[in-house]
Amino acid sequence: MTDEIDASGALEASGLGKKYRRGWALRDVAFRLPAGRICALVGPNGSGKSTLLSLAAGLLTPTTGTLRVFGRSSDAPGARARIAFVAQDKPLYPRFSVADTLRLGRELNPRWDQKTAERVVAEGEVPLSARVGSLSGGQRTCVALAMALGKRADLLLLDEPMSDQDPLRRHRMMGVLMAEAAERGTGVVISTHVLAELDGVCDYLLLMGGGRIRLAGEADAIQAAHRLVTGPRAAGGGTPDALARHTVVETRATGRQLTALIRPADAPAGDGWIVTEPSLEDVLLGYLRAPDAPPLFTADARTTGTEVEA
Amino acid sequence: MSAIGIRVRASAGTRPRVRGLVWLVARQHRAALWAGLAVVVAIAAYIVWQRAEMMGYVRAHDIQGCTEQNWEGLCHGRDIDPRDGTSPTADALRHLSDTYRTPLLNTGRLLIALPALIGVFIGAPLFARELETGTHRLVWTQSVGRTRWLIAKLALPLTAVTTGTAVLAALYTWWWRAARPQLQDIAWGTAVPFDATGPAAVALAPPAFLLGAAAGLLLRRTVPAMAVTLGATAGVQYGLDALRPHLMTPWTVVSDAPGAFPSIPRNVYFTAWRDLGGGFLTRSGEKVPLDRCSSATDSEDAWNRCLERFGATRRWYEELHPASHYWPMQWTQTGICLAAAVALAAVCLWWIRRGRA
Repeated sequence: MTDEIDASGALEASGLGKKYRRGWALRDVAFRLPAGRICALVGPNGSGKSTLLSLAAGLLTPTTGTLRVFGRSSDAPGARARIAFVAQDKPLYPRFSVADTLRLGRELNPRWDQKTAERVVAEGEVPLSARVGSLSGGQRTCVALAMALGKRADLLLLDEPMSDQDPLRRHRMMGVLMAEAAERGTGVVISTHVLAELDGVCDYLLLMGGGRIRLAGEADAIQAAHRLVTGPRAAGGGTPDALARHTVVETRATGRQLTALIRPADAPAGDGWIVTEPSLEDVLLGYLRAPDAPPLFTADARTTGTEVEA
Repeated sequence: MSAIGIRVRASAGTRPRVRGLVWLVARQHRAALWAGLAVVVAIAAYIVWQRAEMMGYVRAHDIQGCTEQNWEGLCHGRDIDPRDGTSPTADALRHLSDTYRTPLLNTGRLLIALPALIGVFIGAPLFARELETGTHRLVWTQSVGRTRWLIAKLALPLTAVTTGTAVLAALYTWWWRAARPQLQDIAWGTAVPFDATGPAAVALAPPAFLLGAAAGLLLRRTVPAMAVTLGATAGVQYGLDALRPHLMTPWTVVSDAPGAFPSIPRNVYFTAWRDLGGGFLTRSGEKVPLDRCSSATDSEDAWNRCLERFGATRRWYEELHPASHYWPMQWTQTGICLAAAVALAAVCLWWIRRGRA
């Protein structure tokens, strides 16, 4: 039973859709996130990141499809204890003191770890006696993170957790977060649109756009699947013949040169082309600039029914 | 840091330990709880003080059980004329009625306003404020389910407001019963005292609170929920007021001549809830209510002609609820209110289970 649950991964979506009154926020989402990964959830504003995280946290119910958390429906009672969620606006009771807020966590969670929670709060230099309503945005985030880490969940869902932190605290909070995650093998999903924030931290990647998943899989596998090629522009514009065999994500012309981000079908490009390995940021920027590029799922991120374009 | 941690734990340990959701709900409503307690203590102290003063006056002037009704007085078996300026007993009765009527009625008015206040200020913000500010997501992502959260959030304040209302209703009933002999002209079926005494007074609090809670849960915004709750509780209380005479079938008492006394004991007549309706009877015994001739008010002649047209004789009738109807009617209204409370709680549960909140 346990094996089966772990085999199904921390998150597994199939046919997942969420429709609000103003339209679809998520459409036909299918992917798999194995347990214990540090996953970056990247995408422009309004691409469905928050909706996906709220669905995983059990705060929303899907309009279509399913989202399974450790093999169980995300609104099942057992799923709730295994997941911690920090919403983008960090909801906390403003009239509670920090100590009261941590006590809330202790009272409502059977696996609560007071030491860890207090350590996180201390790391952010937030006094325990302070009223939550009097804290700065960064301090609030720190308390919200302490609540999430104190819960001892198996998967942390963090919706743009660092957006209101100064660089110093951001660095310290990331340090605490990653140390805790590494120590206990906790999986983390962090949504962000600041790519640099997650450089060298995440080992898994979900790129969203227009309510769909565009890239899913291990960060290094995704990086390795792409090449940056630079060569002569085609005479009449458009894609040069030399790139026709490959999946072209994005092309940019600079002078008489053309730089393209491609997913090579076999041996890259060919004569006269300079081939380099792109950074992860290059890949992400390429996809963000080209909203119509075909999606890519690595083998680990596929579920039965995931549409795959090689 | 560890020193702070120890201090927090030690200070928590000295208080009675409440755990889990109960702790959370109590912590959230700590200020409201103290404020509510202060209100209850203040009103209770006022009632006890007023009643003690009133009883002191009654004893000092030896007018225990004396009644005054329709310009007739009855005191220790003797008839007295309340208009008799030379009678110290009549004087004392008049003074008692003048002094305590207004405080008694105003306290009752305050008590019948409590359900609306409970609904508006405790019920309506209960869920609306959480849903409005998003703090419900903090609790919903801990390890407890929403249904348990909803039940805890409803049960604790519900217990508190019901207990507070019960204390005040009991004290007010105690005062009212002591003042009743001297203030028999106040109809017991009107909102004051009916909604401020007995189990019916207690039973108004739960539906008012739950109405506010349900409005907040469905509307998700505090101010509209408060407005809806105010309107709805006022409507419910007006509705109950209109319904009350029909909770039981009233008695019809008949008199043979205008001004003559109906054929029931005076005591029963004067302690009854009257003014429900009356008029004259036809020869065959059919009722001609007075309001059927309410348009013919220009002269007594027109009035008499109107009544004659309906075949009215000089025999009049009056509908009334005797004092013995008080308790059955109290329990009937209590039942209606509690059924409404159960229905509203079920709406809240159903709503949160559907995942609509």
